[in-house]
Amino acid sequence: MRNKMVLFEVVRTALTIAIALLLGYLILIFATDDPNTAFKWFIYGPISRLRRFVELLNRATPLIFTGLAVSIVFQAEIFNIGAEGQLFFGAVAATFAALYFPQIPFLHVIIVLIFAMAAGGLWAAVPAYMKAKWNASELVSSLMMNYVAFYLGLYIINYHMRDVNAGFLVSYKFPRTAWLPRLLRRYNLYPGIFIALGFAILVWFFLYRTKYGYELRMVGKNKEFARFSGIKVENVIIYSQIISGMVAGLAGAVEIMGLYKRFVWQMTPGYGFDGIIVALLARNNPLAVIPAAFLVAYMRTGALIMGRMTGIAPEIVMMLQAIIILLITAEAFLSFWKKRIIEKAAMEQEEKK
Amino acid sequence: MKKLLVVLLAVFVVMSFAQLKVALLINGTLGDKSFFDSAARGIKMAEKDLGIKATIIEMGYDQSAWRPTLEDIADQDYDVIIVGTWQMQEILEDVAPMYPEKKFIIFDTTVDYSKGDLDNVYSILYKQNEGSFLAGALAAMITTSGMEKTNPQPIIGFLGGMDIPVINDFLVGYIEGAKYINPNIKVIISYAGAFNDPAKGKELVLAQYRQGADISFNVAGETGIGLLEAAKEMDKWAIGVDSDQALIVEEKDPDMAWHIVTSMMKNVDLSIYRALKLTIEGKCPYGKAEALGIAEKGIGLADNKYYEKIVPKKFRDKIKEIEKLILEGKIKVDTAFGMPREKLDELRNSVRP
Amino acid sequence: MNELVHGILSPQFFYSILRVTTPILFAALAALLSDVAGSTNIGIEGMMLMSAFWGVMVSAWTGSAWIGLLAGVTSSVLLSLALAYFYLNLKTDLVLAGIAFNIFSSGATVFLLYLFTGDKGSSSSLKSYVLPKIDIPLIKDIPVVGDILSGHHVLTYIAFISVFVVQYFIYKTPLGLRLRAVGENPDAAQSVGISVKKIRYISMLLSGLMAGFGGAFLSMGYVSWFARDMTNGRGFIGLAAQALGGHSAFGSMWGSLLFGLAEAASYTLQAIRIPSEFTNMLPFIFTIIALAIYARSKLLQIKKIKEEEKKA
Repeated sequence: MRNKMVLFEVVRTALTIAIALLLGYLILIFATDDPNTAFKWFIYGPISRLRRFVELLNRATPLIFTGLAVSIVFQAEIFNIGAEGQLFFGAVAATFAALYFPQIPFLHVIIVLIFAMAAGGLWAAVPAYMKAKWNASELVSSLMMNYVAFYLGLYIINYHMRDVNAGFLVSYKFPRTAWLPRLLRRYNLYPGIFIALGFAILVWFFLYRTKYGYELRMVGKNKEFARFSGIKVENVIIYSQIISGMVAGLAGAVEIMGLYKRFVWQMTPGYGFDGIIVALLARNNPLAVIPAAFLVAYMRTGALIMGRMTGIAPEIVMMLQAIIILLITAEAFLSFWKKRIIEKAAMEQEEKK
Repeated sequence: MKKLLVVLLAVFVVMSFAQLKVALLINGTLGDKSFFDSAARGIKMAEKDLGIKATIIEMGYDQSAWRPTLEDIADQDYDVIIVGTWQMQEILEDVAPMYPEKKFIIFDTTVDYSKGDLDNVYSILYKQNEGSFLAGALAAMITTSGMEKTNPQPIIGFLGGMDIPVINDFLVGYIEGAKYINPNIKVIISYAGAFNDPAKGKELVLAQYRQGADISFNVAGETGIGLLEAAKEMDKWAIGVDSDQALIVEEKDPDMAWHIVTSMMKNVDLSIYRALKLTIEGKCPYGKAEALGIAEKGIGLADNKYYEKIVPKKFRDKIKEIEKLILEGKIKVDTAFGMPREKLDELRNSVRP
Repeated sequence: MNELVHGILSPQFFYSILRVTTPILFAALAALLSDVAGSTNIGIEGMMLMSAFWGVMVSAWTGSAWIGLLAGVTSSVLLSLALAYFYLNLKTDLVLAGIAFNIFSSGATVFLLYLFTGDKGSSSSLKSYVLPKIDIPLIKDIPVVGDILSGHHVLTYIAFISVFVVQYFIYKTPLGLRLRAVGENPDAAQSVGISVKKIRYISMLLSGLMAGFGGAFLSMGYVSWFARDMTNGRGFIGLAAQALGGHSAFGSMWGSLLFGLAEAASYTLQAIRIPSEFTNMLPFIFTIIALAIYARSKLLQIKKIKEEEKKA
């Protein structure tokens, strides 16, 4: 029965994606005289050239981080949707460390990443503490923390680390020791994707092979039962969110160290909310986050390439993402089939008796 | 035989240039009625008159898409690729040397030619400080003229997109021009912090008008649409920017057009047209930066029916006189590029209300 | 400097507070109406955006701002109906569905804008219409007070009138009572014969109605065009304002006014170089502190009750 349930989830996900793509095609029919060409670029674009594939890898990188971050809190059944703020503030802290710490090769990068993780963790700690201590809704408080991160971060960048000679509101350029450098001469591939993959494995190990991970999942499954079996639920509520925030903090830092080499955001990049889609697609499994992030990045890259080649607004992909979230989270979608699997298993068990 | 070959070659060269393939990459969206729209207009003009084949690509405000798009377009068979603004500068400095066979044009900033291999890049700069000097002089005359919609206070407004050198170049000229007419002039300076937030632009300018300004200078791209709306709503004066904004809005909103005394035109359209024409003639100075001012028709106040009807003749004559003095070099307008921060602050504080 | 003080303490400044508060207040009332029935409507942001978009489009097509308003509000209500269907019939998690609807609206409005006008940024190439401003007789002639209270956009008045209507509705009508009953204890409500599903549908639709007004105000009064993502987080700010005010419409109003004050001040204070980032951040910090205090007092209350039970 367990295998059947896994199969069920896989089929359900595949069907969801197929429905979303079909809808995408239908929308394109209204949008253009030549939907086939547009759809071709959407589907085939990201693998049509090595350069476009590199673009896909770079887009998947932050999504893996935020997908992992959201998966951790969702596994504990906590609705901390503050990944957006955590990654933004992580990037601000990374900028601080990149600009003001001694430029020792390699070590500098590590320090910057640690700063980003600390900042992300700190940001997640506020709603976590409020939840554990006073049972305040983490949903609203984490949402508020996103805005505080945004405005405070912009204040710090624009008034204290801003490169006044630059032609835009950006920080000073990082010294070379704080870069995640380009790996290929002609292609803009940077090591971010490898760090992300490494963290996916780390998070998986934490969740499924450590005591803390076990306790976290127990609290997610049944809080009262977890408390009953001696787990300190309040501690779990706090550390799960802090660890999640640390991973989210990396998303921002890695992106700016690799792609821009300075702080460039005047708007939040939105990866935190994308992380929710990724985590849902992956059913909060850290290893499944990797293909899920690739899928979301693939759709987005495809839409952008389609936009480039045909002029159609790439925002079409946002509608498809929304449909994917809705169908995957809709319990009733394909529920008749799920019911049948469960009934069948029950009947088989009856027969065995 | 040799002669024939030369002729054939010449024909071939002409043919291939006749089909010059050009791409304009907008790092934002069209519809700002000023800066980017002007660039697009230049391309359309060139398409009509010069027989080029052109594509305009709106890359949106998500910066993660800009570099991949530029690389992707450079991979394709375009002959000339045009980008603009400082935000594209670092990317272009990185990408252009990889495509020595392609030509690149960047407007409103210059690449750093000392960084090496940029012989295939032509940079266009504008002496917006010269034109803004005229705008400042005009605003200073109008504010105390006793014309309709004015109050006796010598206060004028300035709405900048961001506190950055290219915008401050407008500001420096504007302040110096206003002081040239009235040494006691006060300037309320607001920065929106964004080029795509017209709602915020409107609020900032409403606040300026409340604080006693009766004319405000729009230097904020799409954000500046808010300034024009505020002028209409509070029945005050506006000075447009980049394009002849009165003519652009008159069809849709004649009432708004009657609030725009003139526009400080930064002729991005003409400069791009000129660059493409020179490219076809083989005379475009790639590998160099050019600064276009009043003399080169890169900059100037819009002389339209609104200007003639709204602004009294004696003011218009005075503007002509100042224009001549600038052309003759008798008035030297400072520039914000390379101006030390302290000096800029001193200048801004000298006109603080 | 004098002009500046004049700028802050001028009647026009207070006038502008009311204006920038309007969309936040609508969003807060939308949040309140769903929250009393126990459902957190994260999708307000998307509903407002949809309404802002259709308001502009339909007013441009028909030449009537009022038909535009109707279309905008209708689109928002339809969206809330769809959200309610996913939440109540298909058993989708409400928060995640709300997020999905926000993403959907953000993408769909830009895409439709591109389809209808060819622009991807804003509708500034369209001639759309705005709803009128209203001068209140008698009040408008009172010095200072008239300048602050009169001459507002019609939806600004509707927003503040709605505060009283919503408060009355929730606390003085049978339907409002049912809403609260479902919000406080859905099982108990079900057991006395109230259809929880039906009540939550109603509260969602009312929430969508308020969000619709808020969105229409943005594109048909606050400014006269639609721009991508023009709600700019106001739906979420509305949630915060409501969280500040608890289950009272007046509380929501004061919360909204706090955010409105911060926003209006940030525009004016910029002239003396007080960073707008700072002024904008403050209300969010207030909200977090208020949430903490509120949660703590509630927790203490529960503890106290439990202790008393023990004693007894």
